[in-house]
Amino acid sequence: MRVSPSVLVALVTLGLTLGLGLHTFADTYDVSAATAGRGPVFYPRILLAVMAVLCVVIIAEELRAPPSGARARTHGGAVAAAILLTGGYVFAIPQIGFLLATIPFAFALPLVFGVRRPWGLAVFAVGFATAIWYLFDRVFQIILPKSPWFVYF
Amino acid sequence: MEALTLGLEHVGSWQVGVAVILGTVFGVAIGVLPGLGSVVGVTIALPFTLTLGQIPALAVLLAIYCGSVYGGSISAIVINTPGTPQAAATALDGFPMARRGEADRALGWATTASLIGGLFSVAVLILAAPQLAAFSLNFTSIEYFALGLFALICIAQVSRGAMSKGLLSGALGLFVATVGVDPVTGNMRFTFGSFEMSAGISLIPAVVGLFALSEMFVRASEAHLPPETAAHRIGFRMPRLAEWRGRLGTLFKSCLIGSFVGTLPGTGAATSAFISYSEAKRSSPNRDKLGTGEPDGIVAAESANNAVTGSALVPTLALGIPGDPVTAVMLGTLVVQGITPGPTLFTDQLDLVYAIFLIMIAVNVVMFAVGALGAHAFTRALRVPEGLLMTGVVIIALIGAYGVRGNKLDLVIALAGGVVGFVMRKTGFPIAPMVIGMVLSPMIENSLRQGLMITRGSFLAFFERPIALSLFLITAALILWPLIRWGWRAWRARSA
Repeated sequence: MRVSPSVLVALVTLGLTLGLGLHTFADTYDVSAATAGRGPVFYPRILLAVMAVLCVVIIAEELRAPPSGARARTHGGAVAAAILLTGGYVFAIPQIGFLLATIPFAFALPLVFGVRRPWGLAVFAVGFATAIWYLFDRVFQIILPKSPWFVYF
Repeated sequence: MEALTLGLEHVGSWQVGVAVILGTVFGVAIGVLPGLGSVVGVTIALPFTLTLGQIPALAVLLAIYCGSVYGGSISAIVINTPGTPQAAATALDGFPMARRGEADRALGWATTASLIGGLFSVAVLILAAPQLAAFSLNFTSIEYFALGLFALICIAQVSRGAMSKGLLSGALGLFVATVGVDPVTGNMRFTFGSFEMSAGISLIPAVVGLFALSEMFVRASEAHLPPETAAHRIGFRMPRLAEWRGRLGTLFKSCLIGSFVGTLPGTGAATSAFISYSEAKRSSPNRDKLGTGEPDGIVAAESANNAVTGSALVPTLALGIPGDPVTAVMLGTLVVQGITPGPTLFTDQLDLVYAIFLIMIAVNVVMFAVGALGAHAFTRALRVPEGLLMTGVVIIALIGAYGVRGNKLDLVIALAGGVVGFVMRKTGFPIAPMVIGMVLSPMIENSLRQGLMITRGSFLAFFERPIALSLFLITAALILWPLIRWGWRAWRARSA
């Protein structure tokens, strides 16, 4: 039997839901005496119960459904590269500052989409990153994270 | 009268004028680019709005909203690829016209119908929103609880994919919004000892992730084929007055459909365009020619989808309940700007409400001018390489995610939202209910807990109030609809 991706998502969600449901019985939430049983986890517990039921319904629906036809092709490598690049970018921004993190990201991400002109990309990366940084940080005064090495960026 | 004068003063400033024009141009450009759409457009504009005053910020968002709904029609007509789902029905007759070498005429019909539909919906907004707000002053927390639940179920019901997936997505959104401080007891919930998490999961970074980042991941995952183009006479030709004869009925009916559908939570412009197109196919005098390049099809689709823009603001402004993800993001931005939508907006800040009405009128007029003068120029936006476009979208959207609170955790939330959004889209779980769930969760939780205090802990007493009971019954019918339909079919099959 082939398990569809929807079933996997529902199973993972069900696992998380049950885990979080157990967590609501932790001592930190035990203020029910003061709140007549409707403490901080009263509402989340209702939601978690509804989510658990829906996960089971989805799993049952998916298992009963006939196997779907041809699926759209997914370029797993490109998605993984895009997620890793964005993850690296998100973690680099607070460490080395917005501008220094954005330049390599603006150079590398278009490569994932098949842009293959290194010099053009280099100009785009430096130009776009600097323009955006200047516009938001200097003109609009949205304070963006700075690098530990330079005063202005 | 004083409020109206104040509203006029707000809108009369040069900042608002610039905001309306630039917002509309940007909105149309975003609408032209396939896949980006209104939510991504509004999300990209967030960092800009943080630096603006209340009224210019509102003007930018409303202009992008209306402009992007219209902009989708340009690419639908010129390259047979709707820039936004709302414009999918426009392609059915728009592209055949363009292939005949009449792209300029098709764009003329689309732009004029969009203007009329947009203005019609503003009239609906002006008439209906104050009435609804006045009516809702009688609501207690029990009615708000019933209303919040009803809105969420509507959105889950009409979302693409199975209803159970839509409901799970909505419930997930409701749950995610509970992370952080409990508003009643002050206890921390699901923060697992993290100080940063105590502020909760903010809506804007989550939307940036769920829409902008996941769009980039989805595009990275798919091979794109070059779209079919119609390279004839891309420009703008206004339809002659005589050509409207026989089409005014379709136009009026489509405006009515769009305005009605817009007020219902979750339905949106795409639904209204298709309902209106089907109605034109049933009742238009030119119905036999629909689908072959008949202007009636464009008039039906474009007037209906733009007629949603004003009416979708009716529940948003009057009740604080967003009708779709775009108005949900707008609601979040209004709160950041210190504006609290709901019935009190109409009593405490009436000048602001009038300013919104006037901005909506201005936006529709500017949208017409922008479309008429720049249709050809906007098609050039389609030539920007996808890699550069998506890089720009992601960088600006992440600034929006970070800029609201200046919290580094929001960047991580956006990334997580992007991955979750990608998985959801690839497995057929709709994203819209999750966003609406996040917006509605505080209201639903507070009204539930307050309602239980009013009724001294009795759930049954919730059903004693007539408005709440009606809403609960409709909600139950929506949830049980698949079961009702199955039963009805089984009964019909047996009796046949």
